[in-house]
Amino acid sequence: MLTLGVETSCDETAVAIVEDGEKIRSNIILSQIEKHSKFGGVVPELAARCHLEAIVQITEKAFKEAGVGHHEVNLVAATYGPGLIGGLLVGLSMAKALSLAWKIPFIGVNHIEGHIYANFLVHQGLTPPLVCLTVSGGHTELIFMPEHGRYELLGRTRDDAAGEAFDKVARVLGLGYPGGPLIDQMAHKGKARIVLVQHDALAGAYDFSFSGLKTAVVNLVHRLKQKEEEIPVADLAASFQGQVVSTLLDRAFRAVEEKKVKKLVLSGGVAANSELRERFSREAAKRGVELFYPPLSLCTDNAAMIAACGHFRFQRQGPSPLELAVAPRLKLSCD
Amino acid sequence: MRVAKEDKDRIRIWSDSPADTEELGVILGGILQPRDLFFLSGELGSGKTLLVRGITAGLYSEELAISPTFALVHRYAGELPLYHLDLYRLSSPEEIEPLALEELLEEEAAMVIEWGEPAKEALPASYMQVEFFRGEDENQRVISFLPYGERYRMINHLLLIKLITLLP
Repeated sequence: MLTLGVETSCDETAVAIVEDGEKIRSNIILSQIEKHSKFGGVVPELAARCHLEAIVQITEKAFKEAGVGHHEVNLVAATYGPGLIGGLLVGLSMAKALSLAWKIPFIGVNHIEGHIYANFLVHQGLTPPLVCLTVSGGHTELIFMPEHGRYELLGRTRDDAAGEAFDKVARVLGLGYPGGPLIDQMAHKGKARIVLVQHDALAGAYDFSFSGLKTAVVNLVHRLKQKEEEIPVADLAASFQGQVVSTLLDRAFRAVEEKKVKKLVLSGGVAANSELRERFSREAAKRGVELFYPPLSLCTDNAAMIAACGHFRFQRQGPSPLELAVAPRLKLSCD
Repeated sequence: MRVAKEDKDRIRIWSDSPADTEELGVILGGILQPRDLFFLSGELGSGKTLLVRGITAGLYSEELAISPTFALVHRYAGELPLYHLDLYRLSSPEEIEPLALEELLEEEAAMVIEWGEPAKEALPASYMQVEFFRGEDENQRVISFLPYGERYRMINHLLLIKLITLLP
């Protein structure tokens, strides 16, 4: 069974064709990062316009690369939330139109659930129960997944998303956009010697807070500027990154222990961070926990994960109604 | 926390900690009415989102205000619904237009906008400008409430009375 996946919730126009929810036949991603970088972040209307201009071409490319014809696709899946409304509308509308024109079922996919499913594409045989940590520019969620399609939200950010904190701190440090990879690179050159936040105010809870850490960096940079002292950019990047990873590590492994599972899954753009991967791998090995994370290309937004997730949802509950509306603030339904 | 009345009906509040800023929001939440409009300005990490989190608590909302930098618009249900916007990533009025802010304001809801400068043209000329500055101490913030219009002078009056009665 072939599923066409469409993802347009942020700044990637992505279309993919996936076989049986597991085998990627094509996975085309057009990133708008360069177009947005001069603004220091995604500009929603610009994003929607870019999606509109690119989507048909990207779709054709996905078919060509997969070597399949339009009539061979059995299901079309598209992200309907959460995300930026303009972009979501472009992808969802195209998916519905194709469903009508080709007389194949359509299914709407939750973007956060999609990120979890990126792992099922590369780790054949991966099965719940598991704990999943999704960390990206717009999301920071710790989720317990007892079985396919069922979720329990254990924790989320109380202020800034992890990736958002990376972007904002990168800006304060004068590193540019996108902040994640830039801080990651800079951190390699520095030492995590600066204590930015003394206490974990949410110690013992599953929720996250990154705003205080961001403010601590802002305060320190301000103080050094006033004293006309040099700003230790590399050390600050390393210290900030180290503390973000420590928080994520603490919550994730406590959840694994409490839920008595042996599998931990990472997803979202921040899961590409090298320190995060290294420390999570070490901790997992120490505790005898299996750690899964997707390759870099599937960590960030892509349509293959949407197709995979759509495939599995469709198997369980059938198609979505064509009236399905975009839901910019969609949460993961924890039924 | 400390409060002082300044010229032109402006009030100034010294917040000594993030908890103070949130508490100020809770008090402010109790004063808000439909279509009240607040613009918040101040650098990253100055406490804007924290104030909004307090406001939602003051409106007895069960939702937790989080940074809307990514999604641009959040709407929190409560005694009075609250729109929480963050236009950090936008720069021109043309980019603001599709958000249809005027339509949101027609609803029985209050609205708080962070980084809202580019939106001012499209919105009513009467609003509260809240500015966040650094204080002397690293965690101190000086928060200034500058009213534009009769309703906002009234809010400042109420806020001043509440703070004076509540503060030790």
